[in-house]
Amino acid sequence: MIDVMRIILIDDDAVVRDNLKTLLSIYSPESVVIAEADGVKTGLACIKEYKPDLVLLDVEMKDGTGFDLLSFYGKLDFKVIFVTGHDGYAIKAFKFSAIDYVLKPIDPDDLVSALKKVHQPEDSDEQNLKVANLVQNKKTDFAEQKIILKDAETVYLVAVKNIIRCESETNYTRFYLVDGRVLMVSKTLKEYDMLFDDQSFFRAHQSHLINLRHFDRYEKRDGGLVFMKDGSTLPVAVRKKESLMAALEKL
Amino acid sequence: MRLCLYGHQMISYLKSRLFLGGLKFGVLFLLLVSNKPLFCFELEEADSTSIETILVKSNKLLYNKTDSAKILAEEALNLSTQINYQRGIANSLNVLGVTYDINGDFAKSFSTYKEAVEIYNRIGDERGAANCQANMAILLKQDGKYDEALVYLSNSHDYYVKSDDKKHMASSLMTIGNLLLAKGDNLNNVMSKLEEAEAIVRNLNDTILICSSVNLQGDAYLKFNKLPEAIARYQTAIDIIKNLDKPWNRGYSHLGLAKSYLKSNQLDHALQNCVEGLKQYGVIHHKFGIMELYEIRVAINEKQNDLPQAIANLRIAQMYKDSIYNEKQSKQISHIKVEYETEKKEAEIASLSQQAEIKDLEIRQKNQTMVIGLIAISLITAVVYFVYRQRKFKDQQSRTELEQRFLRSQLNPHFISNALMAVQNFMLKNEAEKASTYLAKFSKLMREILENSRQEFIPVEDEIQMLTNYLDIHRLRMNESFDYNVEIDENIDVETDTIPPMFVQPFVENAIEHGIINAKGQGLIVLKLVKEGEYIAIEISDNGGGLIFGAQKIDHNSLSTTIIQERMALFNKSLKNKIQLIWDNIKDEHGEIQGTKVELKVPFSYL
Repeated sequence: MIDVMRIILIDDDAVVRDNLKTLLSIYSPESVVIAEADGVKTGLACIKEYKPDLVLLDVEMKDGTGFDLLSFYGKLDFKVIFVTGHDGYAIKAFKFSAIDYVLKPIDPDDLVSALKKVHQPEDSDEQNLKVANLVQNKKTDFAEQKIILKDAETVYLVAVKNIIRCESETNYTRFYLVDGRVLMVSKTLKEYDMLFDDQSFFRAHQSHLINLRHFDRYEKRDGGLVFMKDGSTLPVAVRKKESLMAALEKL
Repeated sequence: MRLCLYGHQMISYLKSRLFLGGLKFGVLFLLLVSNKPLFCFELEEADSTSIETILVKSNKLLYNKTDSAKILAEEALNLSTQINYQRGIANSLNVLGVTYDINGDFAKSFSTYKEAVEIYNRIGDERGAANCQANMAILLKQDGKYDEALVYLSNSHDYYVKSDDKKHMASSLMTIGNLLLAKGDNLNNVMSKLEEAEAIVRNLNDTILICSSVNLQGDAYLKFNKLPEAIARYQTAIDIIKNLDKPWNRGYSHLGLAKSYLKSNQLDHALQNCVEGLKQYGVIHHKFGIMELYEIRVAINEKQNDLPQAIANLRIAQMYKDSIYNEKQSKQISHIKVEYETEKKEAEIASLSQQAEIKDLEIRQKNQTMVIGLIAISLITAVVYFVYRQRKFKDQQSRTELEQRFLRSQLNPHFISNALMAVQNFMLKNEAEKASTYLAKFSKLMREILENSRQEFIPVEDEIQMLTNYLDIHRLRMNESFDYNVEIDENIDVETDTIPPMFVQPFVENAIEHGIINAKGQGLIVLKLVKEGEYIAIEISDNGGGLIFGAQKIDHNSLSTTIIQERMALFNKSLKNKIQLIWDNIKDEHGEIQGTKVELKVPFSYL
């Protein structure tokens, strides 16, 4: 039913492009690589010329990053799967914007699942939102960054500073926002704890991640309680008291 | 002139007579005391007996070995004091008094006697007190204190009368008579005492004492110029002991007769008695008597106008006088000497003990100083050691940490993922042989990096091996898009010259990743190793686009270059010859950039 997926490979390493091509031919026979490029400039030209369905895009290239390429391109009319090495920063950026990526050297299983997602019907606005956020975050401070949060029906773009706290609920995480909204996201609290580790967040308890921007006061009674500015009260784990004080001082 | 001489002689004679008699007196008393049964505390009997034994011995030695006698008496005094045996103390003091007297220390002798008398009185020993006071009287008489002497002597006499001790009564009466005579009392008083004495001794029938009392009567008559009476008394005395071997008493009588006859100008009789007296005194070597007799002979010769004989006799008299004087003098001198030496010894002992004390103090002070010094030194050592260890530990820690970071930077994920992607690529292309070669080189490189990063110096050979491996892996991965050359100077012995490991690799990596990318045509990386003095200079050059200072290119590789800088700093801290690094562009004659050149100078050592 679906036409052949037309793919462009953009990576400055010929070996990577080579590998991807071979792997695609093996694991995704319905796709076809219509062009290759080894940099931002050549990649942009390629995309404009071939109008691909999907671009497999490297992050670090000699004349720039994949992010640069997307921001130059503007509104996307193709799907993107990022291909990256072990770049901690890039991975975090993808996660902030809920963008799929594949690590080098390429695990065929990862590639297949990424391709599957591409096949699913996705609002192109949604991808645009995500990519726009990715590009935007790259340009802004940590404090001003935004995160894509998705529940069953909706995609939200939330400024990190507007999150008061997160609460664990089995494999879900509940977000409490400044405007009073509560969002339920199907990712674990641990994942957000890691994602927000450069931000002003503190894991006060196994089930609670708080944004210290919205911290009001700490009370010793009942084994230690944190009061947030929205009036919510949270327990503090015994072992966390000292590091909480340290984190508050650092602020 | 003659009279004067005569009077002087008389006094001397009397003094000598009484002195010697007195001493005998004292000894007699002492012996009596010692032999007397002791009424002391029974518990101390054994000790008191031994003390009395010592005193008897001391008495025996009094005139022959006065010093020994003194030592014994002192010992007895010590023992007595220890067991608080009062009679023993008093007896010892009495004997000591006699020794002082003999040594000519009259004052000390007197005070010692006095102490003894006090003790005798306290314990109610009247006999002891009486004997001792008799001795004191004799001392006082020698000093010309006749009245005092008489007081003491009459005390003694009272006791002898009370205890009906006839012999001592007589002796004390004779001495009293003698004292009165010396004092210049009238003849009747003197004679009454002497005649009372004579009566007692005649009752006792003691020949010697009768003789003595009669002689003393002769002296009294002689002094008052009643010459016939004097001659009669002396003659009586001679008759009494005519057949006895008593040269002292007989000599005394003849001397008296000679004086008396001289006074009455019966020169032949006088001379005859002189000769007889000299005979008697000669037996006992009584120098004073002999001297007096010769002086009488001088007077006789003068009266006979026999001047040569007078001079001869005068010379003899003078000789004896000198001898007596010398004896006395030497006695005094020796006494003084002994005292002086004792004092000196005591002073010496005192100074020695003081010195010992000072030395003791010094040693103690020295010890104290040493102990304090030792503690201080050990404290300082401990502190220094602690600081040193702390610093070493910190150094070690930072070194280890740096090594780990360095290792991580060498084994960075980017490099590994690139390498593994290459392997994946060969396999996907069914180039099994290439994949296998690549994998082998890669694992070899991994092993080399792990091994070499642990060493401080490795042979040049090993470093080159690793670099070649590294270059090969990249070359294979990058489709042999570059070539490389390694030029090692002949003066480097690759097996024995060692250098700090893996300083070169980051610059090679830089050349591959950034240098040759912009090469016109085939890339070329050249490694040159030359020995320069104490360094090995390593030049890494490429034919790429060269260095754009301050641009992204260098920043890009900042991780490994900062770590290189840190490693260099750490190495330089412990090395005499510092590692040096020069970055530059290679330019042709037109000033156009032909590539990048890095010169690294590392110190080397020998394996």
